[in-house]
Amino acid sequence: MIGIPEIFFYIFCALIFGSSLLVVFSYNLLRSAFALFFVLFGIAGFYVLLGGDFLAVIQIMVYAGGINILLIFGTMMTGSISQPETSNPSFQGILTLIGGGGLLLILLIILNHTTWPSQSLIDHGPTTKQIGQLLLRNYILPFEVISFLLVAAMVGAIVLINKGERS
Amino acid sequence: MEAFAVSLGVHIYLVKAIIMFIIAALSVTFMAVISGLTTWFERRIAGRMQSRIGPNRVGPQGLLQFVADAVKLFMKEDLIPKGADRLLFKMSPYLCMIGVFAPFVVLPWGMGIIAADLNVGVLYLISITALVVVGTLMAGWGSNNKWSLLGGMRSAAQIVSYEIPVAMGLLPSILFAGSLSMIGLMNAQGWAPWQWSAFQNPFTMIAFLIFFTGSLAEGNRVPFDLPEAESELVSGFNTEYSGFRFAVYFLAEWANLYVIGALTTAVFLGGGNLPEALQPYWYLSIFLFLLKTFFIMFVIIWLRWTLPRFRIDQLMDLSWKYLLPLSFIAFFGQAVYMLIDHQFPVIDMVTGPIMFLIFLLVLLKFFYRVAINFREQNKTVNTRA
Repeated sequence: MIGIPEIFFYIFCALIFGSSLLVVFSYNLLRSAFALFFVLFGIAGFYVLLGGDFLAVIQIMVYAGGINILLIFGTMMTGSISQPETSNPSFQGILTLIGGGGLLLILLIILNHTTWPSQSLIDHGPTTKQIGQLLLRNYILPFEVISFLLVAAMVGAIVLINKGERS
Repeated sequence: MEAFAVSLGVHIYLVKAIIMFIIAALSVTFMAVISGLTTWFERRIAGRMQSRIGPNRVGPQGLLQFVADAVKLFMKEDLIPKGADRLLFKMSPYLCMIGVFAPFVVLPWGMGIIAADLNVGVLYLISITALVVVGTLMAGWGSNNKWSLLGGMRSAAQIVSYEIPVAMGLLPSILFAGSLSMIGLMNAQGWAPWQWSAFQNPFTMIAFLIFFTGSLAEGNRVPFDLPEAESELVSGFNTEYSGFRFAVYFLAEWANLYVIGALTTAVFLGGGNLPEALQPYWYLSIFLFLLKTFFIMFVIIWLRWTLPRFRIDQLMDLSWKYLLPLSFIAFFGQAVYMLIDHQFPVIDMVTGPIMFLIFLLVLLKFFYRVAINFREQNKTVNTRA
């Protein structure tokens, strides 16, 4: 019998699949960028179904709310945007076909050879506390290294902008 | 209620779906009426502040003005400009509407009264504004209008940059409560003002002010209403909209006002917490919660008709150069405070009342200044006469 989680799983599947097709096949680059928002949103739905409540919210906040918005901004600045009907050619020659096919093959092989730890759609309870403990106790060094890297990247970006403004 | 319906032979999923539908319908209806009434409230206050009357014809004191406005907007023609991206243009109002109504899932109504107490309620509430950003960007691009595009881009840039101070401003309260759920945040506070999270210690007070300023910017309210600066952009991202689609934007804007008020109340101002003796009367808690929320809404409206608008560079400066570092200080300070507080619990008993006392003194000073102003005003009027 199909339970409520499965129904939502198929709803999210449809959302992700439909939006992904739009991202790839839309001739309008900006529509592709907007469709990506729904893909990222649907992935947050998958996280909810896997019991990762904190991760799902962060997915919406960082990917859908932050990165995707910046992507849309960036898309608006691209040169070909003045002809929206043809700004996103979907087929770009034989090389991209090989690249895409190769990626698909690799992903399929990896998917087949991985044993997945959790296959249930059941709620595991709040995860925020465990994530916090893992990050700040077991994996404190990688966490700090990544934070440091991000700060360095941020300072670098500011320096680059300052240089551009002065010249 | 669920068990009763199941015992009658109704399928459990159907019962759950019906209950969810009823709660959702109640929230949306409440919101539509509240945002309608808020338009009237705002226009009356604006009238009073500008020495005019404001809407007072439809219904007692003009109370039904919003019904008349809504009917007028329903009757209007639904225009789509030539050259617009029709799909994006039509989709945008839905996204804005969902983005503003989705927070009602986790907004409390009083002590323990909430549609769904998510574990990550506050984070969900902050992150779901992404829908509004995408909606405004869609409207700005889809309208094929330079003012709309500028308004949409300003709005998105503003919301994305103020999201950070807002989230950081909430962190001290989250630390203090040790929970991300709205009920958890509310229960960590007491009924008395010195038990509220806003008056816990200097750091939560700073965080409260940062959060409030940031939410004004996120809600596109004056002094941060650059996305719809009338003198520059006609009406911002919704310039090309008419009829019901336009009404949806306005509904969303005033619904957002309520969301800001309710979030501030729940996280910083003690929510609907009652003293021990009054706790059996749960409806009092709903009343108290709504009262505080409406007071915050009043303050926001009051600011709108008092302050001039920021320039766009000042707006970004405020967010990145002042609010963000301040919020880091507040977060760090709160963490240190909690460590010290853990060892000497006495501090906790002292700082709350002291902070509240300072707040009261500031309030007294404010009333004193207002009184002086009124007296001076009367004097000049009298001499002229």
